[in-house]
Amino acid sequence: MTELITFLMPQNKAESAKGVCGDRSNRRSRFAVVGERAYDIVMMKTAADRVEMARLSF
Amino acid sequence: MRDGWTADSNYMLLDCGPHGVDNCGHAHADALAFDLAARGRDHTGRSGTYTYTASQELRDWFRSSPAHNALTVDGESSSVPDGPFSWTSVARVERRAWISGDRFDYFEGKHDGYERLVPPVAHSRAVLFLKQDYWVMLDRVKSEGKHRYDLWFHFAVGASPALQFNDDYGASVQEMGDQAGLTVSSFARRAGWRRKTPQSRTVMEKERRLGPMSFHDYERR
Repeated sequence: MTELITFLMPQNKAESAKGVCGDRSNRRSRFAVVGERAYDIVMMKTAADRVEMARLSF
Repeated sequence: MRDGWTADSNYMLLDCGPHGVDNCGHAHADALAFDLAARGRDHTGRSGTYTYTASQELRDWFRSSPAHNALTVDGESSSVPDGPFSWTSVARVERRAWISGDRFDYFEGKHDGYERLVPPVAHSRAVLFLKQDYWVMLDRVKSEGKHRYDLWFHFAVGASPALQFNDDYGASVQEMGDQAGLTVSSFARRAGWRRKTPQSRTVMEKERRLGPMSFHDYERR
């Protein structure tokens, strides 16, 4: 069995401004290995070009 | 799930109802998908319908599971569309738990949409909402074979989510609005993983400090 655990944490702007080092451009993919975990993260827009989307693959 | 009715309340809607009525013509493959507003601001939602008949490709995309805040297996939808207003396969959902209290809400449900795959996959989703604080969502997928699992998060119009990597927290997607933001952090864990190598145990110890293990402790009681 595989378990995918997700935290969804509301934040104030002041709280969330710290430590952000992300890639804000669209249609960019980044592969990351943290410890023994690998993440293939794709940021893109839908076909209607209206909604930002993130997909985390395991 | 909500912790109030004010302009800065937190809110989550989970879809654990029937796929639709009759031929489910207006249904979407959104079994166990969620919408979320954090501190009064919509952060994640559905992509909408966009079109009914102008484009079969877009019609199918906007009602697919990847167009919702859902888990997908091998890129497949939990229900499979047929014509613009019909389906060849429909997921059946079942609520397994719902607890609502002053401090927390807890939900757990499952669906059989991926049991059509070879080998079959069973999916359940549990959400613990600590009111005024945060949500912890646990997706369990069980199969005898190897599959690819995707978690999809759709951000509201005008959002500018950022990626963030951290040795402790792994991969995060952070959305900062004008007044309120949302951080989405996901971890993957496979049963028995701790027993594989000493290095794996180290990683698990890190995760235990972060909180997910306390969620499991809650669930067992």
